[in-house]
Amino acid sequence: MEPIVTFEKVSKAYDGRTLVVNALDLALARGEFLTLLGPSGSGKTTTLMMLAGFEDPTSGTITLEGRRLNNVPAHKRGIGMVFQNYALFPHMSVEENLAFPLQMHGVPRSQIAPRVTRALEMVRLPQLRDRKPAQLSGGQQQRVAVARALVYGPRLVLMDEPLGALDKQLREQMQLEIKHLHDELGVTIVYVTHDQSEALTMSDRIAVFHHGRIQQLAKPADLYEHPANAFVASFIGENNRFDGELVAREGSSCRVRLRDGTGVAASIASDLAAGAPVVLSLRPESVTIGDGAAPNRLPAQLLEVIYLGDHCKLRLRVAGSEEFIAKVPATSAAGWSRGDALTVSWPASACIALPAS
Amino acid sequence: MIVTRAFTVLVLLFLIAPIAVVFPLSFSSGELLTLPTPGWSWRWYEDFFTSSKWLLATRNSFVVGIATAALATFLGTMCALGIFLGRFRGKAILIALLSTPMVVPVVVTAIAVYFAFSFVGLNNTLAGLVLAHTVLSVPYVLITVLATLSTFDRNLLKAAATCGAPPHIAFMRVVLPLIAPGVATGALFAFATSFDELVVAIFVSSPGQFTLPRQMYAGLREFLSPTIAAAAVLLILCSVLLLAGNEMIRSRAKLRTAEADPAEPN
Repeated sequence: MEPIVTFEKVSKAYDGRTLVVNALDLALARGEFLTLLGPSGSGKTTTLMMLAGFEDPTSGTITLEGRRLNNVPAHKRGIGMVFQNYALFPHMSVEENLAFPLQMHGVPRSQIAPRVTRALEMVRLPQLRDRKPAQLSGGQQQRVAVARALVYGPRLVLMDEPLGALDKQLREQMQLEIKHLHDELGVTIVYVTHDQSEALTMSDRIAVFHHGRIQQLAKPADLYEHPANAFVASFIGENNRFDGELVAREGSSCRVRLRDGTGVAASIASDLAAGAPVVLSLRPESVTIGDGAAPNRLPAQLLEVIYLGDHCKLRLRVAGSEEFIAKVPATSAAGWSRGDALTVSWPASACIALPAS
Repeated sequence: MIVTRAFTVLVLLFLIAPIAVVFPLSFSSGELLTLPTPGWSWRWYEDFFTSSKWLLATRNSFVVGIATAALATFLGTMCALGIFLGRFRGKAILIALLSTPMVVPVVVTAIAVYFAFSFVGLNNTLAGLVLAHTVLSVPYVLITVLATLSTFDRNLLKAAATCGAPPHIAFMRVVLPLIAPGVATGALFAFATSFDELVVAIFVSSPGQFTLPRQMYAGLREFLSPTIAAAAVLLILCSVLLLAGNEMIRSRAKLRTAEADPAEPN
């Protein structure tokens, strides 16, 4: 199927020299929920603003449904948008805010009221149509903003960190609501966030941005289990990392020697040859305390136990690192205390050797 | 406590007394501007409202004042919007340049305008007076509108664009309603600037374009009739009305923001 949006070699430099977005190629499938994820300054928001029409690419082409968007002003693109600070019109009631995009798109007067009603029911706020935005809570304002972006039926909706200002509980609730709206309406959504758990929860695919480039574009599970490089591995989820050197490889399994001389069995996907410097990435939940049957078995000293209710985090000294984290069920951590000598082990498949950047 | 109060009263007296003197003078029954008045009468108000000179001056003042307010408000608002939204260097310098008519002595502006108008034949026309007053008034509009815009959320313009609104409709439906108090205050200031203005009027107007201040000045030089006092009282009343209007705009704007405060966020 033809993609709804394409970026071809799109670059942006605000000052004419530093590339905030660097030769970006990206194709969006119709109906997809794509998240642009990255730290601040990584180029994700600039990418969104170029798609919305608030920034012009320095070079390259963006198309929407096959049409080149260069020189098409924002108000003619037919793209809905939700902003971080809601950006509701403060002098208009909720109803007037929702009617505005309908009026702008020439919807006949008689159809406006019923469509506003439907949009309000969609975000479960039908009783608030006469309120002014300032009389609503943050969560209610964000729902109205979502309804305003969707009410005229755009094919593409952009969301710029829309839940950033909400508290954790409300944020998690809104994540699911937006996800459900996406599933019901079949609209294509491009979502910008720096919150990796939000990205994992909501997205069909995630594009991880760093230094103006997409480091990896993949489904959430692929991104978590098979990070393409050390940046993605450390940005998505918690991660133990070791610097080392590739000693030998055979297909997708390999041996790595760590800085302190310890040998580790790991898996590898990239085409690195023996002798190359690598970064080992290991998820804390893949670590077992005790001998187990795993090939990697290292002595460890317990430095700290962090109790988190359903599980505990152990901070350990392993192979010269004092930041080694293991995640274990809370019940199994009860007998240990600081200073205990333990053994940590993990399977080779849980430990990925990535090219050192 | 008593000392500070007494001091406050003295300061107020100092400010108001000279103005207050014209009130009894305007109701004098005598021919001369003297106190105490020989008796009381409305004759000088009658004279004001039956004299073709004073009526013309009143009409000119309002025509020039309203035209100036309209023109200066339009130009000043557009200018403020351009400075607020534009992405360019030297905004502070541009604002300073545009504000020069406020700091340059009016007589300098008046002489400059007089010579400039003599090239294009705008001296001794109402249109010329309107243009000259607009030059003096634009900075007031610019500054009040810029002050209001500083609280305007630019994202609202982006939101309007993603709703499909072209820039001119976004301005009318989103920007203007939100900055209306600043625009209205600027318009009042522009009107007041023109309504009070004498120096430029001396240079660029002839008797056909005399405004109230100019006519009073002419009256002072020709013969000191108490009609001037009556005109002065009427001018003061107009100023008080303008001030009251401005206060009303401010308190209404305040009320609107107070109304917008979430009483019970749930």
